[in-house]
Amino acid sequence: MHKITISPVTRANGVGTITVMLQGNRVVQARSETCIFRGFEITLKARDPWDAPYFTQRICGICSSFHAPASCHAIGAAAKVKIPSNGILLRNIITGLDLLQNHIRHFYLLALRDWVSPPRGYPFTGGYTRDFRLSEAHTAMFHEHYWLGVDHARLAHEALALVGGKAPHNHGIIPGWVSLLPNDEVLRTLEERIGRLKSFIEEVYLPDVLILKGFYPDYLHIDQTSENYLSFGLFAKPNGGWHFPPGATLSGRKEPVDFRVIRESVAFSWFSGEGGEIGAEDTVPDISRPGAYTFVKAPRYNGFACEGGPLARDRLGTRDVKEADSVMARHEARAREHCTRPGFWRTGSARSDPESGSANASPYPAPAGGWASLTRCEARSCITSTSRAGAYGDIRSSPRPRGTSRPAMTRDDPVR
Amino acid sequence: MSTRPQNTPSQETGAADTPRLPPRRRGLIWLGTNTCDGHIISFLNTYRPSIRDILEQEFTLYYCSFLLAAEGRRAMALMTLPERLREDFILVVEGTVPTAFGGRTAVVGKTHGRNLTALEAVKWLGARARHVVAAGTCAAYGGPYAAWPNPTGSLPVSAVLDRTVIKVPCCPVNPGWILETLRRLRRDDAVAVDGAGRPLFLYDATVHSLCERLPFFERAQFARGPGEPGCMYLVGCKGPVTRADCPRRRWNDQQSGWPVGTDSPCIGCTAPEFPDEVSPSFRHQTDIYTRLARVNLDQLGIGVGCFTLLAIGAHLALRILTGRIKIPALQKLAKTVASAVARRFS
Repeated sequence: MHKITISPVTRANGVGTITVMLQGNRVVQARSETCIFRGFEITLKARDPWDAPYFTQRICGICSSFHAPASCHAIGAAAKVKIPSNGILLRNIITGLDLLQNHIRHFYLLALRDWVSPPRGYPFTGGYTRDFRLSEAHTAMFHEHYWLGVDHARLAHEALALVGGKAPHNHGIIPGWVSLLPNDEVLRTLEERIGRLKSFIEEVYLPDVLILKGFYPDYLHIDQTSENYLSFGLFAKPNGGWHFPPGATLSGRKEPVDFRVIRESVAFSWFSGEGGEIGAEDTVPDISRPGAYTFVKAPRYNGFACEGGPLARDRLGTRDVKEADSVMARHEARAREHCTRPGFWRTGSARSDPESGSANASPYPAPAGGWASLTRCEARSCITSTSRAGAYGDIRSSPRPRGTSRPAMTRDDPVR
Repeated sequence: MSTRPQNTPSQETGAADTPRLPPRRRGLIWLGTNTCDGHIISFLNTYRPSIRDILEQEFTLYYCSFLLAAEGRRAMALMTLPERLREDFILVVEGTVPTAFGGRTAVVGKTHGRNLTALEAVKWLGARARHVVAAGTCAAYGGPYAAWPNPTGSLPVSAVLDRTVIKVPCCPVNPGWILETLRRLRRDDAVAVDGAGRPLFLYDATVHSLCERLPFFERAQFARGPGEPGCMYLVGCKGPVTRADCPRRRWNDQQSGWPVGTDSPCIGCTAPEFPDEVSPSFRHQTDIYTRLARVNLDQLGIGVGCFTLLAIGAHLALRILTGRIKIPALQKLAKTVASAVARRFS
């Protein structure tokens, strides 16, 4: 038996360790160890629910925006708050731009070093040395495109910050809505930046992936899985439905998502759980668990490991059979994702979405039940909820007060 | 599109930032411990100059797990390379240093078949670096990863190192702040710090005093919820107690927004107290985190009030019972109650 250990596995959020046991040329055991634990499940307890979207974003600096709508959905469901259509569109803008940032960074910063011989000098020295198949001209081109990728990932964050305030860890997504009601100037700048991103993806990113695909055709057969896909839906439409619909496939058979069959396996993780699983129970770290080797839980859908991400969304959204999933198919799906749904770019320019009408003219309606209802799910403290309903609830239920004796704002902003 | 993008090094930096020494690249090790990697992402978002120019002209980035091409043993070798080359280097740490569970909640890699914990790596590198910079609130003060009840026993970098640590807090750190600090350290300039260890040239003024909405505050035009124009003070803005130049420098790009610019309050993420003592983010009054529970100030007030009322009432009742206060009707009532109680338990 031969053992290969790669540690640290770099170019990822948090370094990991991969240990592979080989018998001859056959892998008999593989371990993915990630010794990173923050305990957000524990830290979030008893906090103000309004803090949750800001807090959960801090789990990951790369995909920060996506944790905010997730906790907002949870709070909204608990408080039965309906999100206004503008809020949905603006959330789509924020998360959509972060998605593009992720895609571009993933390919150029994280993945490219394994395919293309890195340039001389730090921090790119000491990488892999074998199986670089690109010509010198192509390699030089990819080196330039690496920095272009860095710049355009940054451009996506700059566009995001127009609505979200800053990136990573934006301030825009809050329970029930999005804080900014963008004016024409913001939307114009946003549109210009999205246009630049779009041309970069179509003229540089996608062709680059196709060039790699041409040089590495065998990677279309490496890492094929058993066609288990899962998506909870991405980019809600204001009038219901999704741009990327939710769904699940187990061994290629499509079915609607059943949330009751989702469990977190902790059989090999340092967490305590009956039968090696966690459902709705608390997360309790248990370093003495026998056989455990990682701090990462393994989510299971009906007992199966499922693939998420662009390829899964692509396969669940369309019915046409394409090549099987593989390393290269995932890269291609990621690069093509922005073209798979015609509505995707429309979510990026709120004004031109015919389903919503004018985004910057309609005020936010108050959520059903008022803002006070949001605080009722908090930590079972009756005193807080009553005192806060008096102090803040009635105020927040009318986000745009009219006819008050307050002097008019002097900011020369026609939209407001 | 194969030429350099629109972000060539710019002339925006002032005369103070032009190097006085002959241009010399200094070694840099960017160590991520228990972190969200948001700080390196934010640093990559720097736009004047671009990250390419920084890495090609100003610093030799020996180790940064996010950018490195090397993996495994070769990556670990790069971490110790400047020491082996006997070269000065600046250590930038992002993330907290966890101590619970034997430090196993943050491992930076394996050496000689065993885990190298963040604690060991920070101590080893920190003892050898010329300067140590804590990037972000987690590394500087603990931040969200050491928030109550701190399940991983996380400590800031300065708590495990017996030396000066320049703290550049924010969540995530603004690329301009970390770059300007690193540039000064590259020239070995003295960096004056405030009481909390932050460079004074960055954290001198409060967000409130630089805020573009200060006139609204002075005219008492307050927003009453997020999403409104006006001063965010009553929505829970922590600008008055937070030191940073966000309003002037802004985020991601001069044209982009910053938190208050997008109608949401400042959450005080550069403060040493972040996040526990400056939360809830959307309330003017913050909560108190004790060993047992989170206490809301309203709750605390009501609790203290109830206790006071109860104490006064008990005192009054005892006074009447012992006859120090003579109100015959009440005395009679008290005696009846007392005898009833005595009968009940005899």
